[in-house]
Amino acid sequence: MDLYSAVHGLVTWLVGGILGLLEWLGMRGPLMQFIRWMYGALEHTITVAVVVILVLVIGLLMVILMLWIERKLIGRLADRRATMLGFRGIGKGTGAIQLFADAIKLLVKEDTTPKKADSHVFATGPSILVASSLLVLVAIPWSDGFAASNLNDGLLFALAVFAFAPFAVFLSGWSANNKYTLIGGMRSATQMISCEIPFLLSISGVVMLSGSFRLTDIVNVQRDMWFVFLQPVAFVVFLVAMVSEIERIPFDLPEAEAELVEGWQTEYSGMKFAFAMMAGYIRGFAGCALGVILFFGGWNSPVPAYTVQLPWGGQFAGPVPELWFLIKVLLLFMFLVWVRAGLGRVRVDQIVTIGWKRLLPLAVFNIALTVALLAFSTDIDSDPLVAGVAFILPAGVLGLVLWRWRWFG
Amino acid sequence: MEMEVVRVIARPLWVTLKYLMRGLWRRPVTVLYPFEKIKLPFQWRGLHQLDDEKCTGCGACSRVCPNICIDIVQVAEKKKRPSIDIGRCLFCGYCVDACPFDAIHMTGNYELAVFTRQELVLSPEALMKVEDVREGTIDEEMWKRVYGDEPIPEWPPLPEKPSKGKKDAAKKDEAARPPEGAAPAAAAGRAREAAK
Repeated sequence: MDLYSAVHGLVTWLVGGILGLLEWLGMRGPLMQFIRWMYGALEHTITVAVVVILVLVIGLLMVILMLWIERKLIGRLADRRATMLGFRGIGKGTGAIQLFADAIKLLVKEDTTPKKADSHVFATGPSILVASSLLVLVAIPWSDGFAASNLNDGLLFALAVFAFAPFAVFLSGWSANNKYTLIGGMRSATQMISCEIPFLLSISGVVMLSGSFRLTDIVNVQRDMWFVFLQPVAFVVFLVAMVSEIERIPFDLPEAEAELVEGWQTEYSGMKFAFAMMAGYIRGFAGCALGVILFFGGWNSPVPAYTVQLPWGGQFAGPVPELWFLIKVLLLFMFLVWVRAGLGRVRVDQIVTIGWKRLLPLAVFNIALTVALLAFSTDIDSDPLVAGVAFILPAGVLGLVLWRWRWFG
Repeated sequence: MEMEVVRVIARPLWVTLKYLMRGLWRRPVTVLYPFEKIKLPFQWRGLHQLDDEKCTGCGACSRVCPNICIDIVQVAEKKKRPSIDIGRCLFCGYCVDACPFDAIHMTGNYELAVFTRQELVLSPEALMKVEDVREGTIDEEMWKRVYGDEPIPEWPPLPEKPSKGKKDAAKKDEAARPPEGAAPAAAAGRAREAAK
C-alpha cells in the first residue's frame, strides 16, 4: 500500500460518509447529484492535494526538529547550555517552544524593503528559494510506499531542483542593491559552479552500481550492502560537495556573518528572512536524505531481520522503515552539526581549490575505479569493448591528474 | 601540507566531541542567569553605598572621579553629600580609595537597569539605603574545573551596615584612624610630580 492509495481511501471514506449523512438527512435531488458528479471529477485532484500538503507539513516539521536538534547539540558541543524555554518558563524546558517563539517573532516583524532595491526581484528571491527547496521533498521517498512521487529519474529530478537555489540566492543578492548581498550572491554562484560537478560525478558511481535513477531501486539494491562501503571515495566527495551545496558552516561563504554582514540575507527581515532560513534547513534535510538514500541504505534496517513473538499474539518485525530512514537522516544531520561546531569557514579561493582540484579528481578516480570493478567482475553482463573504453577514458583523466599533480596542487 | 589539513580538521572535531562527551555526566559551564547566580568575588565593584555617619561632605570623591559623575549636593542646612550618576560611572573605585573617612563602599549589586535616565542619578538618600546583597552560590564544580584542587577561600564578612545606634562606634573608629585629611590628594600630587 502506498501513500496515494491510503490517502485516496481516506478521502473516499470521509466524503462518502459526509454525502451519505446528507442523503440520510433528506438532501436529494439534482444538487446532490451535482455534488456527487463534482466529487467524482475531482477525486484524484483532491488526493494529490492532500498528499502534497502531507509532504509539505512533514517537511516543515522536519525543519523544526532539525533546528531544535542543531541548537541543542551545538550548545552541548560548545560546552554550554542551549535554549531551555519550556511551557513552565525559561530554563525549565527542552527549548522546543523557542522555535515557535522565533517563528511568531519573525511573523510579526516589519517586512522592510530597501528604497533602492529592485523590489519585485527582491520579493521573488526567497519565493524561488523556498519553492525549489520544497520541490526536492516531493522527489524524496521515505519508504517504498511513503512517497509523493516515485519517478523513474527521481534522482535526476532531485538533483536538478537541488541545484536551483544558487540562482535564487544570486537574484536576491543582486536585487537588494547592497554590497554585502551582492558579494554573497556572487560567492554563492562561485561555490555552486565549483562544487556542483563533483557532486554529480560522485553520484554517478552509485548509479552505476544500482543501475537505476529511481530512488526506491537504489535503496532496494542496498539491502545487503550499503554503498558507503562500496563507494567510500564517492561518499567523501558527496558529503563535502553536499555541505557546500546546502551552504552550511565550513562552506557557508554566501552568508559569512563575520565578513559580510549576513551575506545575501542582509537586507531581508521578517517573513522573508524566515523563508530564507527555512529553505536552508529544508535543503539540509533534502541533502541528508539524499545522502542516506544513496549511501546508507535508505530505509533498510541496519540490524538483521528478526521477528519477536509478542505475548498478546502477533509478531513484531522491527520498526517501520520510515523510522529507520528518519533516524539515519537525523544522525547524518547531527554529524553536520558536529562539523559546524568544530570547523571554521574556508576562504573563497579555498572552496574553489577544494571543488576543482581535490573533489573533481577524486570523483573521476572513483568513476574509473567503479567502471573497472564493474567491467572485470563476472556479475555484470557487459560488452568488454565498451567497458574497456569506458575504463580508459576516466583512467586517462586520472593519469593526467597524477602525472601533472603540480597543476592541481 | 596534507598533514596540516588533517590536523586543522581533526583537532577541532576532537575537541568539540570531548566537550559533548563531558556534557553527558557534567553540566555545561554556562549558568541560567536569572535563576542561578554565581557568587561574586569579594573585590567586586558594584553599586556604591554611602555611610551617612562617616561622610563629611568633603568632596574628595567628586574631585577624584575620572568621569565627573559625583556631584556634591546640599541635603540639609550645613550638610552636603555626594550623589552619583550611575549612567556615567565606570565603577573604577577611585572614590572609595579617595574617601578619607571610609564613607563610600562598593557593594555587589550589579542589576542596575532602570526605565528612565533620570533614575540613574542616585541621590545621597538612595545611596544610603543601598544594601549589599551578594546572593548566589560558589559553584564548586566550576571552581574545581578552573582552579583544580586549590581550596575555595573563605569570603570575608561584608562591611557592617551602620545603624543609628552605632554612632559612637563609628566615632571611635574615626578617632582611631590617623588624621590624614587630604592625604590621597597629596599622594596623587606626588605621583604626578614623580611622573614628570
